[in-house]
Parts: sequence; C-alpha cells; structure tokens
Amino acid sequence: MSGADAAALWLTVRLALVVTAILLALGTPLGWWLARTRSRARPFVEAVVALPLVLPPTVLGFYLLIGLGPASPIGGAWLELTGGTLTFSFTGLVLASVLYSLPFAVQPLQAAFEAVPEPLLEAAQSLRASPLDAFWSIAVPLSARGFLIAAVLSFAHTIGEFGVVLMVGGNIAGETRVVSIAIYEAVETLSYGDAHALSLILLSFSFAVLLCVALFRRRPARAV
Amino acid sequence: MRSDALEVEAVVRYRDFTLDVAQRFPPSGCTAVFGPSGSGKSTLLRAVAGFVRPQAGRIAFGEAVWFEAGAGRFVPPHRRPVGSVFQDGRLFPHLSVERNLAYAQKRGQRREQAFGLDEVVEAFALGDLLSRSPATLSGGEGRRVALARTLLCGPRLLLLDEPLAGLDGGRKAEILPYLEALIARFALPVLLVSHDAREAALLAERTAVMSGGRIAAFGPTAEVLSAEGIAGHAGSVLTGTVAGHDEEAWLTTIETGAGAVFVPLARERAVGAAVRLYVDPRNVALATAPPRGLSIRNVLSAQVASVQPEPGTAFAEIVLDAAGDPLRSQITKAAAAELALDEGQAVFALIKSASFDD
Repeated sequence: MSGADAAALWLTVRLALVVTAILLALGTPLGWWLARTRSRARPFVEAVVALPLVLPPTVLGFYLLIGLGPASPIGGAWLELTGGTLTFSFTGLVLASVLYSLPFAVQPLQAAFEAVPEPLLEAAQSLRASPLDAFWSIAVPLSARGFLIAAVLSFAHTIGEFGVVLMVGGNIAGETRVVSIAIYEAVETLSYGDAHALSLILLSFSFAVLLCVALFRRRPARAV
Repeated sequence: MRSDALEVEAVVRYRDFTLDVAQRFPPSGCTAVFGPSGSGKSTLLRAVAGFVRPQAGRIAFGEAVWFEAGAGRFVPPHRRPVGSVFQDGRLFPHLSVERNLAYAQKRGQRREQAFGLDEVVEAFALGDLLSRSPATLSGGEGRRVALARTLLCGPRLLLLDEPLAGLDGGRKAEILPYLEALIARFALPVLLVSHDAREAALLAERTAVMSGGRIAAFGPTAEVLSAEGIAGHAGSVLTGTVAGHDEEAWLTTIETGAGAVFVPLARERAVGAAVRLYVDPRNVALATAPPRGLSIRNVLSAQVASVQPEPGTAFAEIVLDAAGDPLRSQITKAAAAELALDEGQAVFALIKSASFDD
C-alpha cells in the first residue's frame, strides 16, 4: 500500500472518530427528547433526522455545497473567521458527515431510551435523584447497548460514505481524500491493485463491525 | 424528631375522572387510604409525591408548601422528603441489591433523618441478599428491598402504594410483619394505599375511605371500616390490646371489651399494644347460650343491634354490639329464625382463631 493510501486510511479513521464523538454528544439529547416528548413537533423532527436514509447522497451533498460555500452566510462567516473555505476542507467534511450519519446515531439511542421504563425514572426521583441525575444513573446504564450500537454504526457509516464526501470535500490528499474516494480514483486510473487492497480493508472492517453489533445485541444484560 | 402534618387540598382532572380532596393527615402513625380501584387512591399519592401536578389546591407538609396553584408553586418530586414504595417494587435492574440500597443512601445522606444502612439491612433481613441481582429475587424479597431502599433516602413521610399487591397469601404473610415493624420502628407518618380492609385494619390506626375521587370518610380505622355501607366491604374491626403470648400453644391473646380473642402467635406485637382485628362476617357464628363442647375458643359477649335479611339470598346480616365495637355476622335466615334473634338480645359471638391466620 502506498503512502497516499495510508494517508487516506488515517484521514478516514480520524474523520470517523471525530464524527462519532460529535454524533454521540448530539444524538443523546436529541434521542432522549424524541423518546420522551409529547410535543407535536416530534414527527417532523423524526422525519428530518431520517432524511439522509432515503435521500441520494448527491442531493444532500449538493445542498451542503451550496449551504457551506463561501457565497452562503455560514460559509462566508467561516471564511471571514478562519481565512479558509468550509467546502473542500476537513471541517466541512466533518459537518457533512455528521448530518449524513445523524440517523445512525439518533435512531438506536431513541429506541434504547424508549425502552427505559418511566416507572424506574420515577423511582429514582422518589429517591432524591434530580431528573439529570436519574438520566445519568438509570437511563444511560440501561441504554448502554444503544450507545454502543449508535457509536459503531456512526463510525462505520462515516467510513463508508462516498457521495456526500465527493460533493462537499472533493479529493484533496491529506485533507478530504478518504478511502472511498481513493478507491474510486484508483479504479479511474486503472490501479486495480490499490483498489483491491483498500476495498478488502473496508470490506473486512465493515463485516467485523456488523458481526460485533449482531453478537452484542444477543447478549443479555447483567446486574453488577 | 420533627413531625409535620400533611395537608392536601387538590383537584386533579382527567378526561373521565376527577380527584377532589381536602384533608389534613395527622403527623404520626399510619393512615390507610382505602377504596376500590379507580377511586383515586393512587392519584392522591402521586399528587403528594409530586408526580402529578393538580389543577387547583395546595399541598403542604408542616411549614413546607409543596404545591400551591394560586402562587404557581410546585416542588418537584426529588425535592420532597417523601419516600414512595410502589406496587411493583421498581428496583433498578442494572444494580445489585446492595447498590440499589447505596443509590438511595448516597442521595439521602444529607437528610436529617436518614437511617443507617446496617440498621435497615437488619430490620428487613437483607444480609444474605446484598450481592444478588434484583432479577433473581422472589416477589417477597423484592418488596423487602424496596421498603428498605425507600427508608435509606431519608424520608419524613412514607407513601406505600399497595405494597402487598400481586403477592400470594403466603408471601403477604411474609411481608406483613416487616410492614408492621417499619411503621412501628421507624416512626414515620405513613400513607398506605390499600383495597384490602383486612390489611388496612391490621396496619393503619386511621383510615380515609375514597370513593369516586373523594374522601368519603376519615377517622379511626375501627370506626370508619365498621360504619355501614362504606366502600362495599362487609367486615368489621374489633379493637383490643395484646394481653400475652403463649409460645407453647402458639397463640397470642388479644383482650377486647367483649372478651378474649386468641389469634395465631404474633410475637412482634408488644404486650399492651393496641391492635385491630378484622373479622369477616362469614367467620362469626352466634349462640344464644354459652356454648360447650366446641372447638371455637373465641367467645365474645355481645348484643344484637339489628337483623337484616339479605334479599334474594339464604343469608341475614346480624349486626352486634360487642362492647362498643360493631361486629357483623352472616348466618342463614333459617338460623336467625330458629334462634329468634331480636334487637337488644344478649348473644355469644363465636369466631374461629384460624380466620385470623392470613
């Protein structure tokens, strides 16, 4: 494997780690809200969160390209502030990936939170736990599996994306050239050896991740 | 120790049900909240605990105002010094028994009245259960842990919502002594929701009878539960004091105004303590002369207060005056006719000791 391929791999892992961290931080309150709210806004928020599941990545990528571009308010402000554009940068890639993988974090968390019995949270409050305390001490441990699945799926899905990355990030080595782009380029330039190596790595990784999730889903929870 | 009265004035409206109560609960002892399901017992408790916010009214515990509709005041559940024990125990499944207890203790530590862990573990005989997971506990064991856990959070008022619900007869008998001990030993004011008159009679010195979202009657348990036509149960409650325990015969003697009653040994009751006995009318037989050659040991002197034939059945309800306590007896109309029972007549009421064994 060439140095460029290794750089693409490392960039991909870095991107996936950052995106997963952001998604867990974002998905936890959002998933909790969706699981517990009686607000009429809930179905709308749920639909928006699920959009990346059905939209072609090019559609999302197109809107992001416009929304984050230097001509847009966000992209313009970013340019003012940092002197660089948001599109075709690592930061832009992170933003796009967070949106693209949002349902993969929010949906498992929401499902896990919905399974936390309200009576247990009441019991915690009757024992002097504030709602936030009850969330951390009861809801989070009981949703541990949901957190793991959300993290693994966010990580894996970020690694596997292509369309959005291509639209928003382009193909800048060391900045936006992730593995899936590198494979595409290798095929375009008929470097099938490189394409084989990188593809095999992604294939084995994805399979291993999904196997882990499947195994973990079956394991019964234990009291400590 | 400070003790405060609980004053509840609350209106809670649901689509098809309204709770509307105004009641002061005295600052000590156990008050039963008694009534059929759907009468608002649990809603009342949830309003006191803070899990339900009434539309109108005021809830105060001593000086502390927990809810006041006009002032927009609402103290959330975790800031009320209330210990709730729920019907289903609600132990945290991901924590061992010990850590369930520690959960409450940690959060109750700074309260003035938190009981020690050792004391509570001993009182509920939890020593052998500490390392177990809640999923492996029997129904009765789970209830004991739930009661102990609630005490550890330092409550100044206990709310017990049918703590024996869902347990079979044997398990109930296993938990009852712990409940009695809890009420006596930890000396907290208790509101006990129950739809079982026997349970209320056994545990509570006062009873509030609920019906259709309102408190229909409130007063001493014996008086309230024996009053006619309340909450559709037919039993009566005798008041007495513990006269002594006979370990050999396995009996405890209760002295009532109308005579001694022998019940299965109840060691946990101190001699001299006031007790209430719930008597099912079907277990009360009548005789017009002192009976002889009979296995029944409990013979009370009473007077017939009224004879009421139950239309469409073989039975008649005889209400007796047993030294001031009303005592009901259900016998056949034929037997009532044969004995020629009349108001004011002196009779002997016979109660099987086995009927007190629950």
